[in-house]
Amino acid sequence: MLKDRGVAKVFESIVGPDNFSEDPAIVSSYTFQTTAHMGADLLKDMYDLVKMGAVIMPGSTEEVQAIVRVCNRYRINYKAFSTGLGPWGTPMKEGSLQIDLRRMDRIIKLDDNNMYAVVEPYVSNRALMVEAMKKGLVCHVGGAGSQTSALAATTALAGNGHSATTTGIGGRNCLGVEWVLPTGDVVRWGLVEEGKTGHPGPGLWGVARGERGSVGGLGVFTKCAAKLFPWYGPAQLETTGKYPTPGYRIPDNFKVHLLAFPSREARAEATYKLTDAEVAYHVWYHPLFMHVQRWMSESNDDHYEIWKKLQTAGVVGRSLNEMTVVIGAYSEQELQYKEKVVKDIIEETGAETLIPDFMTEHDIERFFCAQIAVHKPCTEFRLGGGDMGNGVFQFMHFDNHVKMWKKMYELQKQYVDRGVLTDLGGESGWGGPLEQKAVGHTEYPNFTNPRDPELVRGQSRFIAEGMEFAVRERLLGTGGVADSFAHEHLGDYVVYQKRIKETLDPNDVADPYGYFTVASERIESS
Amino acid sequence: MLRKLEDYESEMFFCGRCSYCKWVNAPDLKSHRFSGICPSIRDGSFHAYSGGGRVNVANSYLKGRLALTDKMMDVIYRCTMCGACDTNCRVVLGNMLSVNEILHALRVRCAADGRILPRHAAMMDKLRKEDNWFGAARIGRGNWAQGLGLRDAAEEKVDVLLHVGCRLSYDQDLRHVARGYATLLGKTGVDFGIALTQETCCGLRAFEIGFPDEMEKCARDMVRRIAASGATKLVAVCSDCYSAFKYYYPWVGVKLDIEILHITEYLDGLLREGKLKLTKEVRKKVTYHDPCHLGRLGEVYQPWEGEWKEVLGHMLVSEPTKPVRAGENGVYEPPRNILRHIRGLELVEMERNRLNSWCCGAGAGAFEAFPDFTYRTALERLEEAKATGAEALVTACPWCERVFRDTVKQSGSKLRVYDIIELIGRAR
Repeated sequence: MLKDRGVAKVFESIVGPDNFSEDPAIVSSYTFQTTAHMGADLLKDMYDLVKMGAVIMPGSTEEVQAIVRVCNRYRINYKAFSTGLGPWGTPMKEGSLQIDLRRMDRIIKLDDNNMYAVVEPYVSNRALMVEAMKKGLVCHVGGAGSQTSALAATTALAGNGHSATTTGIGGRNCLGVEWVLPTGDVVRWGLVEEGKTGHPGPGLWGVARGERGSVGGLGVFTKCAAKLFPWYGPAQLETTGKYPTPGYRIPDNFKVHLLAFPSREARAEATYKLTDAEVAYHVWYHPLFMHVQRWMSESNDDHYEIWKKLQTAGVVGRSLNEMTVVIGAYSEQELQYKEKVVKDIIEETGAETLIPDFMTEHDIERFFCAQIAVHKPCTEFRLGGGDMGNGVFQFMHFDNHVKMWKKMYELQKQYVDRGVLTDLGGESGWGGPLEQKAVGHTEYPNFTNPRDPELVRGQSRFIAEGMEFAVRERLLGTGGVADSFAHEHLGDYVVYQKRIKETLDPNDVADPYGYFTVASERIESS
Repeated sequence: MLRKLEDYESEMFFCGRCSYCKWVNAPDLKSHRFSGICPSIRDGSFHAYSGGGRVNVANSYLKGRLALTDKMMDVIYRCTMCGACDTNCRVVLGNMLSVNEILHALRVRCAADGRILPRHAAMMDKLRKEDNWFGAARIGRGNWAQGLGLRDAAEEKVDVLLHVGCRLSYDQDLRHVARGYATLLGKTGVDFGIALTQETCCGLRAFEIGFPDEMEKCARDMVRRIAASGATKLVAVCSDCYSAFKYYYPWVGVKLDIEILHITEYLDGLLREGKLKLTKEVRKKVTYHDPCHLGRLGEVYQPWEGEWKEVLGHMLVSEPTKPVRAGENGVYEPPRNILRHIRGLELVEMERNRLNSWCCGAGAGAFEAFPDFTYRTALERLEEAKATGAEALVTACPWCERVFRDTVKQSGSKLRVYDIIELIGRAR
């Protein structure tokens, strides 16, 4: 319950009694967030993680504005989320208000001439994608999956996903926002403004979100304009096979290559060549022992059976340096040209088909479906018994990526030997180029037993060692590293973010979890 | 055999809070408008009213953090138990989280702890007293068949035992459906009978409300009736009953030793064998509604009792292997095949079909306890049907038909609602 007993009536008067609740039966459903325990101080009963005070569901920007003003008046800590995946959407201070934006679910505009959409928070990526596909366009979908909010990744998180080389990533596609500041004032910039089309003009991108996004710590985004991109395929793809692992029939104007490279350096070389040639629709590093196997399998039992076959095939423990290349084209001639370029690059860099004859044609369709519809990401929770650890070192030059992956795989093996991490059989890192450039996302998912605090601490140490290496060796580009490392080693940008936060949120009521954590307190005290 | 709520405690942790339980399976999602799959969260809105949210609530109740307040009862029971959250979760977690089982276990625990909604209590009284949900006299169960000259399977040996269920036995508006099927079987020379006054409720709703023992009693009655009839096939006209026989009875440890078919499967077989011919033209554009109990909940239930063990370090696998039920093996094609056999009939699909079907809103006691919720859920389906351009919605479940008819009437919709038998009747 909220501490101030009178305020509940105020919130009810804003959204109506059906859309506000302090009832434990309602509130308790919001308190569990897997992966939230990665911060060691949160290692306690997962289901009683957050002593939240109440939940509210606004239906409009005006209601959000009114709620935030009340939070300021009564000094109530709040945080908003859209579809709610991940701990960063949950307020971590006791007695907080969770703002659930589920009722705000309109696609306000889908402008196919100027190739952007204006959406509210609860529009899923997949819903936006299918509507865009009807107009020959497609949106970017972050790695969290197409069931997640299109707005969240665009406004408040990074939103990396495997079409990034063509579609950029969520955080780079923001062409405007409607933003309820932590004080309750509304700011609109870019293409969300009434009557505005074409180009966004000067914006507040850096202040509102920066590279990583403010993770809900800087107020509430109630609308965003997101870039759309050309889609080569049909409005509806044909589903093949059966659930839970369906496929998509690969249209004639698409080609899919699953490749293995002789070395990390050769893969990086191919990445440079492919992005330079700008012929690929998707270029992504999908590790066999995580993504490919996960997308092919119905369950962990199935996954393990495939692992045994891979062991028989002699590939367990080897670095396969995997890469997926998907080509799309508007004409046969264009397809042939792109295919020739890709094949030349494959030949020049010594790549081969990833374990020839291992996957059936339908497996490739499953892979294509998982890639396009992005409906399998959360199978990661399956591998991790409801959880996954992560090491994110995003926007890294691909020469640096080679060094980083080498180190991470060495570390991974050490932590497997110590019994901390699950031995997936090979590298589990994934990533790929951004916007046909020589830099891109790098991420290293990893798994342990999330019920064992000691193992989770060990897992956290594995991630930290990776980050320390990235910082020490100066491998990082921008963003993606934890605040504590960032402000100690990468200059003062966190200090600027902190000042933005202090300026926009004078009463400190926008929950800071995931935005400024331990590091921000250190800055404050120093 | 029946696992208790506490038996699912470790499974509850597997939820990644990804929200896949709320949307149509992504590969088959066709529009933003019809992107939802869960009627409960569409209506209740808070996360607690979703599959994943209820798993959290179940854990909180199990651990004593929540009491069975009125709001808690609303969270638990304002749900049609349509199974969509469960089959969707398979895409993400495979066999790790049995959402539907947890929702049932939670209701069973509520009932065991002495809480029941007043309207459900009234239903249970009727069932216990008269073996049906309407409180109508048991003796009148076979009245729907008056004048048809059907054989009494309690007295005579038959090859096919036809089970029509409570709704078709007692709902006067829908009696023509039961009579239509029985008449058709008679005309095609099928050796069949009904259990007349011996027929009882399948008991499914009792389990859904939280009383598996009551369903088990019904299941044991069914075993006796099957034995008495000598039948080799049990044909269910009602989708709920079909689901009870195929999915729910094995859950409480009762396996019917007989071939179980839904009437649409049986008739589809007759069509294929040439024993049933549909010759007349029926010029209509229709869409077919997949009942949940014939689809997602029409698969055979495979009980699992085992444990999770770690391999490759900490990856959990089941031992023995736990099956993955993803809703693909429901009865989807037989009703469509029948409709395709009707000359002149144009069958168009709604966006949400087969395992992605949107529930009618009737199930699990929602129709009785939360008629407003059921109405809005059915209205959503009617709007989807209307978007296809169809003039009629066809279904193969009397509970769906009841709800759709009521909703058409209440909303002023111009859509017609048919059971498949009504179109078969016009085509013969």
